[in-house]
Amino acid sequence: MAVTDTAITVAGLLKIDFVDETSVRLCDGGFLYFTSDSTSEKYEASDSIYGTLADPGEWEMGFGDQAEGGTITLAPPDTATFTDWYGDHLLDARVRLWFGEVSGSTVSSAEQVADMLIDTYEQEISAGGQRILQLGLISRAEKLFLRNEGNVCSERFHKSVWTGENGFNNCTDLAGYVAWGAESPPRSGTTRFR
Amino acid sequence: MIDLPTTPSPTNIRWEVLDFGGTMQGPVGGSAQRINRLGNRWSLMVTLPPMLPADADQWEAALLRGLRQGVRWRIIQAFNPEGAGSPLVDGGSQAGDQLDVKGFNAGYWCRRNQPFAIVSGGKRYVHRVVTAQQIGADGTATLEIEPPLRVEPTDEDVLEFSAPYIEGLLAEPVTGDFSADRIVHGLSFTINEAG
Repeated sequence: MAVTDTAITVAGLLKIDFVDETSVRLCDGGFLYFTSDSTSEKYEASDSIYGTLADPGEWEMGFGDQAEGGTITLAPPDTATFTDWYGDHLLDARVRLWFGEVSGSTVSSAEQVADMLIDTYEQEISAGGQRILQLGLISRAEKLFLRNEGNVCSERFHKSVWTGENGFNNCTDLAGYVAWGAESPPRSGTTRFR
Repeated sequence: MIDLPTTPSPTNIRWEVLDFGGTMQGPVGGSAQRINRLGNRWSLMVTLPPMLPADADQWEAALLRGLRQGVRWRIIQAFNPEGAGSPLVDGGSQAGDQLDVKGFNAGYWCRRNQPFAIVSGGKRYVHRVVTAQQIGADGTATLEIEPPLRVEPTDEDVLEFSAPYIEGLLAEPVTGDFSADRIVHGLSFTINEAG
């Protein structure tokens, strides 16, 4: 088959590589064999722990210094143990998504459309009573945004010298908040109400 | 998985494909392209006749529990499919829309559009034979099937040809109407294959 044919079969493939070197491989439906990391691996419609891909979500693509992001939603089966699919082991897992043409059970001319890291995870109860797992993603390149500023006047550096000294705890450099009903501050300030 | 009663027989059965593909068609007359996605499977709509309350109770009780646990129902066909022997999947690592089989009685006709179930990993997956084929003397054949395989069967997985079952989830809760004539009317249900 070629993309110019009257009918083609396509599939999306999702691979999540966890930090502990296990992985989850999901595809739209049925099953497929696909080689992403030098060995042919089986991708299935459902995983015994993470279930199915409930929503591929939205994926950003951009040029230059754009920090791409995305979300995916998984629907773990009721038989899976909650702590197996929900916890800090999800963080920093590598998430890749391919899109390719299918012949039999093999994928040809697959193109990688995303390479991301899991940044956040959240459990939601959907309308049908199903527990779903929402994963917030950031671009892998976003790790390079981290700046190591050395010894600066910060809470972390301060505590490295003076362990347990909490003087810098509130020096977060974030906007401060005052309680509702307090006197209005000057408009030029960074104080906000909520 | 709840086994549904076998009597009384339904008045109507309708098969539909749960199709995950679609047609890409531009709004200004550009040529269309069919986009197939994997995972197509069956939805079976069954309409039951008016029946006595005692019969309806069997159906309603099974369908009530089946709503939670899934249902299994013996497929009724227009012809007698018995006499297939003990067909099995012939070899692992199979995929796509062909299936190597073995263990048939020699001479058995796999009819065009005949439904059958592959029992793999404890679950059933219903397919249909696309091209009629008579089984050879060695009991083996390569069948053309639709939809394509949704799971990878292992060697010697059981094939249900003589008495195939469909199993899946009920599309919605089922109730009948208990009328003044002391007959239950309007029982019907839809089984959607789960995988």
